[in-house]
Amino acid sequence: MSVFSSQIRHKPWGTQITVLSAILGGLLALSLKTQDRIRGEQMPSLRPNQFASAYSQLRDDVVDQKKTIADLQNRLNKYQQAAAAESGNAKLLSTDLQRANLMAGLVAVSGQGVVVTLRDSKKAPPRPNEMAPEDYIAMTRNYIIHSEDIQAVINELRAAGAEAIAVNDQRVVATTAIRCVGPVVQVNSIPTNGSPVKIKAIGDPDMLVSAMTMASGVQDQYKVTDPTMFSIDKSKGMTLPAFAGAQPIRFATPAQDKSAELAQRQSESSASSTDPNASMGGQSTMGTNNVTH
Amino acid sequence: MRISAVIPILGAFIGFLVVYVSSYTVPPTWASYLSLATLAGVDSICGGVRAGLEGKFHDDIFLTGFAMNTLLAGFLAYLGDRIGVDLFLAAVVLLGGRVFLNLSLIRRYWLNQSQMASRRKEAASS
Repeated sequence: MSVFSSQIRHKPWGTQITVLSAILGGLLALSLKTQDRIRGEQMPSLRPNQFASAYSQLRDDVVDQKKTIADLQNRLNKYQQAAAAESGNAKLLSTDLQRANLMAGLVAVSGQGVVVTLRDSKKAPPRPNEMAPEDYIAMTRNYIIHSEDIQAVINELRAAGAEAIAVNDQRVVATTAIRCVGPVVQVNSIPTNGSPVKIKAIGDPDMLVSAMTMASGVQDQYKVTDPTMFSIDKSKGMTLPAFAGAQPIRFATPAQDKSAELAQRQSESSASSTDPNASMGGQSTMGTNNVTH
Repeated sequence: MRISAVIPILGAFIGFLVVYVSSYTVPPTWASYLSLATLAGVDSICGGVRAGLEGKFHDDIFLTGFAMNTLLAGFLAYLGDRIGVDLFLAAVVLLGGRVFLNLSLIRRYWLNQSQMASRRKEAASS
C-alpha cells in the first residue's frame, strides 16, 4: 500500500505532486539565488531599517577614512622634511612646497590670533499662538546665527590680514563652502554645530580685534538685537587643524603663456582704475580667449 | 511502498538543481514577491498531499490551486507594497500557518496508517 494512493478512491496523485514539486524546487532555487545575489551585492533592500544601518556604517567609514587622511598628511610632511635635508635642489623645492601648503591650508598651523564666538540669542520672543511657524522663523531670523553671519566675520577677518581661519575646527580654504543645512552649519560639506560657532583666526590680534569692533562693523550689527550673540577673545597661541578634505582639480588647468599674460594685464588695469568699464573689458577678453583656444 | 514518498522529494531536488545551475535570475526588486510565491507553492504541495491522504484529491483543484496561489501571493504582496499596506506579512503568516497545519495532519495520517499496518500484522501472526 503506497502512502500516495488513497484507500477510498484509487486515483493516482503521486505523479502530479511530483511534477509540481519539481516546479516548486525550481522556484525555491530561483528565490535562493536571488537572495544570495542581494546579500552578495550588499544591495539595500526596500526596508528602511537596513538603510539606517547602511547609513551608520558609512558614517563610521568616513570617520575611519578621515583618520587615514590625517595620518597620511603627517607622513607626507615627514617625507618632505626628510627630502629637504638631503640635497640643495630638493631643499629649495621643499621650502616652496611648505609655503604653498601653508597658504593652501594643507598643514596644521599655530600662532596667536583671535577667537570669535557667535551664539543664537536667548532673547527671541516666544511664538504667538496664532502665528504660523514659517512666519515665526522669519520673525526670529535676526536672533539665530546663519551662514551669512559666519561669512561676514570671515570676510572681515581676511580683510584684516588673518592668515589662517577655522570654523568649528574646520579649516577654511579656497574651496570652502559655508552654508546652513537645517539646524547645522556645513563647513567643507561637513556638518558642525550651529550655535555656538567658534571662528578661530591666526593673525595680528590687535588688528583683528579692531577690525571686528570698529564702528558700524560686524559687532555693531548685533547691538540692536542682542550684544551677547557676538564675542571676541584674543588668544596667545592656538593650533588650527589642516584641511582634511581632498577635492580633486578636474577642470582647471594652468593657463598658456599668452592668455595668462593677457589676464594678468587685465587684472592689473582693473585694479589701478576705478572705471567700471575696465572689469567689463576684462570679461570680454576672457571671452575671446575662450574662442581662440 | 516507502520509495514512492521519495519520488516527489526527488522531483523537487531535480527541479532545484536544474534552476540552480542555470544562469537565470530575476531582478532583486522581485525577490520578496518570489519568496512569497515559493511559500505559496509549498503550501499548495502540502495541501495536495493532505487531500490525497484524506482521499479528497482533485487534480483540477490541485493544479489550479498551485498556479493561482503562487501568482496571487506574489501579486498581492506587490499590490500591498504599492498601496502602502504590508500584505506581505499577512500572506506570510497565513501561508506559514497553513503549511504547519497541513504538515501536522499529514504526520498524523501517516502515523495512523503505520499503526494500523502493524496491528494488522499482529492480527495475522496471532
